[in-house]
Amino acid sequence: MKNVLLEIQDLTKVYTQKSSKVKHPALQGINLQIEQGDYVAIMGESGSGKTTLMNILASFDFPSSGKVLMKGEELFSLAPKDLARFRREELGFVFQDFSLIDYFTIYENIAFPLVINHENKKLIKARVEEVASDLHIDQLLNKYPYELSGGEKQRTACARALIMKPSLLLADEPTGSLDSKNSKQLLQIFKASNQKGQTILMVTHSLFAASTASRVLILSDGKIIKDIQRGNESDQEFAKRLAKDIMPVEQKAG
Amino acid sequence: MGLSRIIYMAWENLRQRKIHSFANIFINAISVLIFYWFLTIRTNINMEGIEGASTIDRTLKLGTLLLFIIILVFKIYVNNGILKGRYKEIGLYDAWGFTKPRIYYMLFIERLITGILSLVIGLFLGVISQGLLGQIFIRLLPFANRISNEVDPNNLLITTLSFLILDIFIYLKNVISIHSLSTITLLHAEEMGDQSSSLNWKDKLQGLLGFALLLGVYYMVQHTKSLGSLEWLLFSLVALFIASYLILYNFITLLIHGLKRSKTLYYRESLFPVIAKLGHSIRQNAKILTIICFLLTGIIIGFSTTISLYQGAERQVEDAYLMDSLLVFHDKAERNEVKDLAQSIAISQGLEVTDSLTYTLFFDSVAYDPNSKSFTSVEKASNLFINLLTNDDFNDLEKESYHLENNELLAINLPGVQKGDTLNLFGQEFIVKDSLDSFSLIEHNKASVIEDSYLVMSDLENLITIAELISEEEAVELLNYLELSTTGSQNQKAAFNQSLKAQSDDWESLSYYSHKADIRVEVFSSNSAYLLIVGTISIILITYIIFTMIYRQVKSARDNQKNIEIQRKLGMSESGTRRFVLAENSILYILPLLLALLHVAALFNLVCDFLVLFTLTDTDLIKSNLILTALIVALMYFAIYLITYLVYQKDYSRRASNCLDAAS
Repeated sequence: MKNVLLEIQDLTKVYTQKSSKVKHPALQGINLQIEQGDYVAIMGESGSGKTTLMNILASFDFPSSGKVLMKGEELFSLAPKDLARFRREELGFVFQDFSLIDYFTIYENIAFPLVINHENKKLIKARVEEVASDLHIDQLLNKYPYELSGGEKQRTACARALIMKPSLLLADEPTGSLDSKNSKQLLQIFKASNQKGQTILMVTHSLFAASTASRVLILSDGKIIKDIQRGNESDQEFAKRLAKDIMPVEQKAG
Repeated sequence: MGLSRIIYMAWENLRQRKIHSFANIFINAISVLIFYWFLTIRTNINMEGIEGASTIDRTLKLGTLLLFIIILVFKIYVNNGILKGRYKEIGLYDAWGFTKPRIYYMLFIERLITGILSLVIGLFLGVISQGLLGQIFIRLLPFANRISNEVDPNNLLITTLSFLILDIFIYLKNVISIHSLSTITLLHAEEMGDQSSSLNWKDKLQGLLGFALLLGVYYMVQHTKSLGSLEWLLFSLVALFIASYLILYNFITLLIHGLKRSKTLYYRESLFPVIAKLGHSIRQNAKILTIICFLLTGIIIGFSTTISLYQGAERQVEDAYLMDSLLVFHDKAERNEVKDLAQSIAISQGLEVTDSLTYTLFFDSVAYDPNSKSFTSVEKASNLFINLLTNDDFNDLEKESYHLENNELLAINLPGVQKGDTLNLFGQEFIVKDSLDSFSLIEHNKASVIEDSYLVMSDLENLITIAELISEEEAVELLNYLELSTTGSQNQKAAFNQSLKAQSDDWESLSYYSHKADIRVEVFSSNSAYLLIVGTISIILITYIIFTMIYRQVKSARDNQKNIEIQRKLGMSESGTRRFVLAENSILYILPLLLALLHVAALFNLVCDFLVLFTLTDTDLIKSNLILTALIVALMYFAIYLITYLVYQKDYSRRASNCLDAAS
């Protein structure tokens, strides 16, 4: 039996417009458990609450009510300093816009989480070289982000996310800015690292990307309306089933 | 789109960029104010007819020109930066179909609003402060009592027209720049040229060259003799500017590259982002840091030297003429009578005559050939100013006991002549009994006759013979001199000089000169004007530094916001982020100050040599003023930095809260 890594209990998030005081519920009573080693994709229309959920899980934003437990520990009871520590030790991030720091070289971008975690130089160097080699960016370490292609940038972001060996890798539309070839490469990286035990939670619009996950959650109007588990199907078969399951939802939303 | 809409948009643009707009108006108003001050001081000093007005007027005229050039250069520089920062906005207007003529019209309205506000504020401040400025200036002049406080409409008009022309010129330059760019270039302008780059061999070479050039200039300044020429000063400044830029752009980057190899420093949490970011920021800001470094160097050297000149003015006067007064008369027999007259006037004014020199002199320009040691025909171009003196007068002056035969003479300050040489004076040969470098008349009158040469003849008859040969006249007129030095206050000395002048007016063959009083007016007038010019230009330069730093800090806050947010997302704590921003930002802005202080220390000898041109030789005074000014400027710069850092923090927080609002 797998261990529960992340547990979300009755999570809600309501935004209030400053001027009109009108309230907009973004998440409405989300309940979810993610086990260690899961590869979960969250799909849904724009405005369904995917990014809000991701931001709360990443501790970039606070919920209006409800709990987020990571390894049994309540996330939002932590002091800001501990929250920062939690973020750098337990989480890895991959964003659609790559979010690389312009003035850091590729080496510095990848090494940064280890540096702020006070790791020693030898380990930092060894880990950066190892991860960069795994992701085939070891020749780019002295370059700056603007000198890289989109695919190379996203692989750098992946390397940075994986370097701390995080408990949970959060990916927000990671293939959103990539062409099909680079998307495929990135998803292969995700899959390979999941097979090594990495837990991944990915928000995506892409059916193809979602089909690489072992579980797909469909979000609509701030609620999980479907929880689809992959059986022993191949990616293609799972993609076909997802398309069938999602179609009625999209038609309803449309 | 109607005129009112365009005016509204122009006003909104200024309001939206209120930090820029306020700083721009403020600095332009200060420029207007100081320009107006220069004009009004010139007018009012002339109006009052105070002593030395022509010197002050002449110096301030040059100062006004210098000021105008500084304002022009800075306005163009700042305008280019601001315009580049607005290219995307202008590109968007263009893309939305807001035609270029309308954009030009909007920019014209913006410039008109800022121009009028700057002029009104600057002139208003100028008019209300001109009385105070006049009082301050008059205190710098020990011989003047009051300065006129008239508001001359011409000065208001000249200031308005000057700044109007400047603004029209810059506006037209902007129109030409925008006109030459396509919409797509304007839209993507911000993405250009703002990237970090890896260090290549050229950067390394340039960094080392910069360091070598800096050391070279420092070495030459320290070890080369006769540095006091203007050409050398200009060369040193240009070389220093290039070296400073290369040091900041390449050499510091090279050092940062070296730091990245350090196991102990680079991988510290607090230093890693600072070192990485500095490598980027230094290159982005190298130009502006070099300019700040030069402005600081200029302010420290300029202000300390002018204050030294002013404080050393009295000593300059003393050094120029050791004797206070000079009486010239025609008849040698009147020597004692003239001496008694001066003595009695001195006593009546409560002064004591401490020293007096009496001598008879003939002087004229001659043609002298140092190779053949002969004074040849006067038809040839003259190249020497010669003074003839008698043996007796020389012995009296020098307390010496030379005895010269008819065919002997003493040569003083005559190039290439040695004891025992034979000198040919228009066909007559003389043996040089002795050759001296200097004597009391040269020492006492440094300001006027330092380059003169002297020949001491055996007697008056001999002197007259040679004088007739030099002047080609049968009867020459010899002049008799009485130089006096007195002790007493400046007021007593002024009264003494006045009485002597009155007496000499009544005595037909007697003329009175007070070189010292004349040079005192000259020295104080010019030194006060220098101090006014450099002091006020320093104010302008400081406001320019403030403006430039605010502009860069606002830009940095905007550029860094996304990167800092990423760092936070990756788990950097808030306090860690604050520490990082402060450390990186303060190191960046401390570099020009450190480099400026290094320049000042290295240029000390050059400054001292340059001040010798103004007969100021008191190195202790220059050193103490330099240290004091450097300290004050460093403190001021630190305060400016803190203010601009707060602007950075405020702007960053505002943007961050805007982002959160947008996200909510």
